[in-house]
This record gives sequence, structure tokens and C-alpha cells, in this order.
Amino acid sequence: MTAVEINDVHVSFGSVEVLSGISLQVEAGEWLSIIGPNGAGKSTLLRAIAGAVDISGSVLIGGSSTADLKPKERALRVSWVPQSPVIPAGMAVFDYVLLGRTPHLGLFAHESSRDIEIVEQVIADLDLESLAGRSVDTLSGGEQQRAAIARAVAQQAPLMLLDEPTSALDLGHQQEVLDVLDRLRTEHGQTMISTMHDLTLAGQCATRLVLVDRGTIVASGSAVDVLTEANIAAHYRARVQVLHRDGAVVVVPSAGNVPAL
Amino acid sequence: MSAHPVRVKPLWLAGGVVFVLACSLLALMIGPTGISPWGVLVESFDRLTPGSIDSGLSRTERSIVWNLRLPRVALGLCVGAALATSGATFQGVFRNPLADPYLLGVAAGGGLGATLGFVYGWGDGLGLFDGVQVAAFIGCLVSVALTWTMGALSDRTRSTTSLILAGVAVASFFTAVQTYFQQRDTEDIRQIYNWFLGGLTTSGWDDTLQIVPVLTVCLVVLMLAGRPLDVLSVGDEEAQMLGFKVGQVRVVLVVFGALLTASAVAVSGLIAFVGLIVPHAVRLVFGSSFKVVLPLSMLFGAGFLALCDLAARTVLSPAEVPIGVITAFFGAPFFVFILRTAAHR
Repeated sequence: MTAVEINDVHVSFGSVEVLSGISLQVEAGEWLSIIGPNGAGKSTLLRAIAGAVDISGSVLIGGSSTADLKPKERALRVSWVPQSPVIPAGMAVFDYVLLGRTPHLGLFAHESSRDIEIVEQVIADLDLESLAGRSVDTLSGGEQQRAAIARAVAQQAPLMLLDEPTSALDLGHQQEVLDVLDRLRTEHGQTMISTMHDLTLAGQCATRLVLVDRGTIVASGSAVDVLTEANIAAHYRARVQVLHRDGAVVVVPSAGNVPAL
Repeated sequence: MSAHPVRVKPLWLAGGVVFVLACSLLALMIGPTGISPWGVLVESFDRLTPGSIDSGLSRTERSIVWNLRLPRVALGLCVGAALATSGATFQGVFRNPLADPYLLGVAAGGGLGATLGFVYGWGDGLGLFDGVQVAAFIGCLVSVALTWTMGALSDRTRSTTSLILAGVAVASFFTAVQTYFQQRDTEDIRQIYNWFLGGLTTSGWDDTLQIVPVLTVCLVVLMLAGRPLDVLSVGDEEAQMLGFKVGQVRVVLVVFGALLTASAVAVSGLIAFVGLIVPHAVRLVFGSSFKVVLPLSMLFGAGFLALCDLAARTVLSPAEVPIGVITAFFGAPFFVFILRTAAHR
């Protein structure tokens, strides 16, 4: 089943075209990782899928065009973890995660005990129990990032969009968060689309990689296909060695000159 | 797990109600003629409920309680509740701690309406309602509507910034027009000046009863708005992704907040500081969720204004100090005290 279908999507900010004709299909239960250098259009692609920017072309989520979906219907299908979430002052982590239940509630309704159970479970899964009563604005960057991911998980949408979900996390929490997300994917068939800077990590968690540069897709496929020394040299202008260990692809920065384009 | 979703605790609400009652009682007792607390209680109870009990007060004392002090206390409670609630609402809607009920050009619009009312002598009667009050009420709403329309000019999504800037433009323009009328016709200048300083001078129950219907509707709606305002605190974009029609939610909250402000302004002029300081004080003491801030701001705003009005009519008795002077004079140091205590916790 196709979870997301992106057809010839263009996005411009003023006269600058940030995405130039992206087409992509993501199947339900896939984990697609979008990689690419700074300014390639990765975050914009996520926002285009989320319906948070004006696009030309179309994005279909579960068969319906995002342009036709009301915010609430969309929020029941897609959750989004922004790269730098707005952190409200004085709100406890528990209440922050509870915001994820918003699309399941009427405008003036109260959260039910079911909503609260779900939030308690998510908080336990993401190792936030000891922080549940703390204000989000007093947490470290990594803890805030986990709280934002927890909020999106509590939203229980079949598609999750994660913009650099592990950028502020230590190694242990990176693995823990990615494990939780992967369990959601394998056990509940949720679809994940994430942007990632850590190429090794991206290759490990994703079932498919898409390399974006200057607003277009320049490579797509498995980690072995996409994470090649030639691709990384051409699009990141980086000196790397790509190693293959036990089926995993490891990208290691190496010494030497920056390759010429 | 020990954490629970934030809710306003019944004990806090009870505290707020006790504060309202205590402030009202003081305001009813104190004045040129002192009246015993027991007498005030029994007399008020007698008048507000069917049946008849003898409060033991003299005819004059009864009249003072029922015809002079009680309507004024009631008006103070209404205006205080309205300003503090709309202030809290606007602080949430605009995610701006400096927002107050007079944001979006309301003060200037109301001021222009009232000035026109004084200059053209509408105060002498438009049937049931006082013409100056009606003009001020309409002025407030016109200014908000204009700000809302202009807010879409620079940014069709009406970001909070573009609305606040539009409000500044509308306020400047209305103030210019208001000053023109005021200077053209200087014989009303004293009345206009007094209006701008705010006050709760009443003649009987009319003012209070006229704003009660609007106030009740708005307060009931806004008391339900705690969770939506909490959702808005993560910003427009994330709130939208959580399923909120941010534009629609904002328009509903602004309409009810503006109606509250306009009602208060119509009967009491511009009373500074209450709408800014009360929500902040509540937030510092009880927490920042709007589920807590809204109801407690309503209660503590009501009691605080009744208390300030008591000071306004007693410190220079028989003359009156404008209530805006009192709210700022006592409010500002009190706020500093709260800030200090909160910082030391």
C-alpha cells in the first residue's frame, strides 16, 4: 500500500526555487531517510509532505491530496517533529506530550483517561518518566528533542515526519529513540520519513535512502547503493571512506583534499 | 506514574472565590459611613434572595449598601474579571507576555468613541443606553475589526506580529483623530481626561446589568479556551500540524476577548494594568497553563479591581482618585513582590 505519493513537487521562496520537481513514492511500513548537504531542500521536502508550505504539484497521503485535507484530518494521518520545536514556557513534559492528542479531541473537549494512558505509555517508552513533571523549557536540548518525538508518537498518526530527530541526542538515546520508532514501524506498520545528517545512522535505520541536492533527487535506493564515496564526494564535497561491516554501511571521514567538483 | 495533566485545583478556585467575597465585603463596609460586616452580609443576602430578613441596618444604611456600594462593587467585579480574562486570552493568542486587553487598537478606538460621545453630547441619552458608553463600545470593536482586516495586508496568514503591528497603526490613527476632536472642542476636555483615566462612578444598577449578558457569554466561552490556548503556545505552524485551524481558533478567541474589553471600556473607561498584571501574577503563583490562568485571572482580577476601587474612593475622600492610578500604584510593587518570590522558589 502506498503511504505517500509525491508528484512533481516544486517549492519556491520568492524567486528562489528550493525544490525542483520531486517525485517519490513511499510504501506503508517503509523508513525513508532523506539525506543531502545543508540547504539541499531536505527540511522543505518534509514540510511539503506535511502540507506546511505552498507547493505546486501534489502530495497524496493515504490516497488523499494534502490540499484537500482539513488540518484535523491531516493531523490524524501525519505527525511532524520539527528540527527546532517551539518550546512553551512553564509547560510540564507530561502536558507537552499530551498536546499530541489534540487531533483526537474536539476544540473544547478534555482529554480522556485513554488519552492519558497513551501518553503515560509513550513517556515510558521514550525514557522520559523522571522528567514528566519538569517544565520543557528547563530541559537540555536532547531531552527537549525526545519530548517533541514523544508528542508526535502520542499523536498515533500512520505517517511520521522527523526532521533531524537525533541531532541533539547522545549515542545511547539516539539508539533508544530509533529503536522505539523502528518498533512502531515493524509492529504497527507506521511509515517513517526522516531527514538525517549522520549518514551511518541514516543507513542503519532506514529501509531506503534518498539523496537530495539542490532541490532534486540525485540518488535513491539502499544504503549500499546511495552511500558511495563518489556520491558523497560529489554532493557533500566531503572526503570519506565507505566501509562495509556485517551488512552495515559505515561512512568515515578521511584525511586529504576536498575533492573538486 | 505520578504526573497528571494540569488542571485547576478546586482548592485554588475556592481560594479565588473567597478572595472575591472578602474584597467585596471590605468594599461594602468601608466608606464615609462605616457599616458592620454582619449588617452588610445580612442586607445583601436579604436583597439578593427571595424572602425577608431584618439586617438591623437603618434606612439610610440600607440604601447605601443596596443603591450606592453594591452596584459599584458589582461593576468593579465585572470589569476586573473582564479585563483580566481578556488580558490572559490576548497574552495566549499573541504569545506575547506584554499583550494586554487594549492591544489591537482597542484603547484608541474606545477613546475616540467616547470623545465623540462627549463632544456631541450623546451622553444625554440614546433611549435605554448611555450614548458615550455605546460610542466607546462601538469604537473598541471597530478598531479591532480594522486591525484584523489590516493584519492580512502584510501577511495573509495574519501572523501575530503583523496583527500587533496593524494594531499599532490603527491606534496611532485613531489617537490622531481623537486628539483632533478633543482639541477642537476644549470644553469637554476634563470629562474626556477623566474617562481616559478610568473610573467606576455609577448611578445605580444600570451599567452593571447592561454588561452582564455580554460578559457572561464571553466568560463562559473563554473559560473553555484553556486547552486551545495551551495548544497555540507551540506556535502557529506546530499547532496547525496538531490539527488546529489556527486562523479560526484565533478569530474566535479575539472576538470574545475584544467583546469583554469593549464592555469593560464602555462602562469604566481605560483602567490600566489590571489586564496585564493579574494574569502574570496568577501564572507566577499557580503555573502557566491557560487551563489554570484563565479561571483564576477572572476571579483574582475581579477581587483586585473591587479592592482598588475601594482605595480610589476612600484615600482622598470625598474626592475620588482615578482608579487607573490606584491599579498602577499598588499593582506595580505587588507585581515586583510576586516576581521576587517566584524567582526565589
